[in-house]
Amino acid sequence: MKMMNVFILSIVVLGSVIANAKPVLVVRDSARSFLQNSNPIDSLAESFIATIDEPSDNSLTELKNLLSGSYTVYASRNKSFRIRKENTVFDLSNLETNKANMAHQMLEQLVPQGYVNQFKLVSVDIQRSFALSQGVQIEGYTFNFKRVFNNRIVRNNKNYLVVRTDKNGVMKNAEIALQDLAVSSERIAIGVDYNEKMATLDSLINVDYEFIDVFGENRQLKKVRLDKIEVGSVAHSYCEVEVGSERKLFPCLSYASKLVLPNKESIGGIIDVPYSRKSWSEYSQNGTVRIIPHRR
Amino acid sequence: MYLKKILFVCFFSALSSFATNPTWTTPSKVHVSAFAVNDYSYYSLNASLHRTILHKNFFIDSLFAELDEHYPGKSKYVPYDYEDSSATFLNYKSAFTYNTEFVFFSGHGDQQKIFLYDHPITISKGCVGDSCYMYDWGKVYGGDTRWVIFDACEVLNVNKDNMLHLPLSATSIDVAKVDTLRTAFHGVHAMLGYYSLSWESSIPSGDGVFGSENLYSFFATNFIEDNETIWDSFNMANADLYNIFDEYHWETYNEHKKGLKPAIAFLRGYDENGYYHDTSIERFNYTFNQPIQITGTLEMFVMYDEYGTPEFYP
Repeated sequence: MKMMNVFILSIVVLGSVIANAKPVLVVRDSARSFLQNSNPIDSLAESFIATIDEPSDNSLTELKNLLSGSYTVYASRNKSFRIRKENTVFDLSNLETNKANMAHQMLEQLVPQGYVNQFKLVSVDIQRSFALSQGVQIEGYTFNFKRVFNNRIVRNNKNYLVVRTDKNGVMKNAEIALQDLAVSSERIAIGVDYNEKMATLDSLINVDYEFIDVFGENRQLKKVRLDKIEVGSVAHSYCEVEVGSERKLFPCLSYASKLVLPNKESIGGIIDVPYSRKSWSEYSQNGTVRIIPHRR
Repeated sequence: MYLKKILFVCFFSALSSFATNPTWTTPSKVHVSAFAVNDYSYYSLNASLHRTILHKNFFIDSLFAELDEHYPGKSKYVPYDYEDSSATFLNYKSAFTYNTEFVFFSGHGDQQKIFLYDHPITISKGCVGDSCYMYDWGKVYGGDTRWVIFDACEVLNVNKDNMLHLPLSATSIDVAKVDTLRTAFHGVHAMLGYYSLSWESSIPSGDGVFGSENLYSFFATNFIEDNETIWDSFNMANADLYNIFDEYHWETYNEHKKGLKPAIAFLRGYDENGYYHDTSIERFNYTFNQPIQITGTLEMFVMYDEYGTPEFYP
């Protein structure tokens, strides 16, 4: 099977040892609908691979310069920086009812117009507190955006926007990381039907997702068998892929999932998968093609 | 003997509180009391750790390096630096940590408990009276101590037994545990740690390894160089470290606990002199220059960050 050439680090391969151990795959209606040609990208037969110019930081510098007129820029690192400004308040009234809309408004307020569609909200961390006289209350949020490039979410940890606020939406700071990306002339096939997409996901789960590493009581990692994988939503993405010694961004599908353990506890994570079992075969014939996994 | 020491600490704290006018400023010195236990063979359990001493050393070295660069001339000192067989209950309990701005422990933990080399100690309520066995006495934190870091599992978790992994709620909280933790506050501003399990690990990096001890390098940079708040410094450092390990592999959590939850126990409200405090948002250059006793409307809060479940919104 061609997929055997695609490795995902840290996910332990023990599937051949124990029979009937494969986790059950459940796909929610919204994800199923998305996969059944609900997006213009689905009408394409092929899609371009993107490249990363590792040494260059033009994109980061450009946005930093644009923001420096409105915000205090600090904590500048090699590939990221933070901004802050007192009295910047975001409207969080839609947080529970319409996260996408709230996130869009936040971006419109925070970044220059040309960058608003270059980020997409992927998760929200919540800070909660307890005091005897106050009970439980929310103290703040961390909004985790991923970069969008060429209409695809970039699935690595070097293209993101993180916005931290208190419970009222008052900005503490925002952190931005960008790489210089470009569309290459290389293309891979993406035009496959729903059944093939599911078969591809299924084959990956069969190989790589029987066990996951979890923290144990002794502060070390231990293996826990997965009981079920529930796919809640899907996105067209660029997966970070190592082709030989080079890193590229391959068109792929990303499945936001709940990984359910036998005791029904679940862990949120994103599973990155090629469109089809054959779509990367041209590259895997010439050596190892390896997805660099990112849980979130 | 211990009662005398505690009384001495209280007396010293009271004296120091009158030495300077109350204000928010940069600490005049940064002294650290640090303890780490890798070797848990004393407990006859196969529970030894591997990186706690590295965590401790990274904390001290990173903090002092940041101070050298951004606050040259600031007094730095480590009066207590105990590892393994010297990080005993007695040495921890009897250390005059009231004279140090930071107290740091790395090792095994449990709810309101840390495991020293030879015996656990409670954080922090002890019994009262002459008949108390000394192990029953906790340790209180105050004097010059602004911040305590418990690099250990669940020390700040105040949920009921068998409900440790549940979100904060009226039904999951154990009021007695909240009260135990509260009694550790005798002037200290805030305590950092985990509501969940903590962790230690390493991944290959170049010719060597990149270890979880780098958490404290990130923390020191956030807190000293970037002047983030104490809570944001610790919380962001945890998130950054986690993301780096994510580069190498998914690392998730024990089946009993969902999610890594960095946490802080802090004080909020007005003290008896009318000063308002929220010690979770103190910065290195803006921290109250006095011990903060729980008086007036001041109350202890426990706060954690729970990482959200990823979802693609239409």
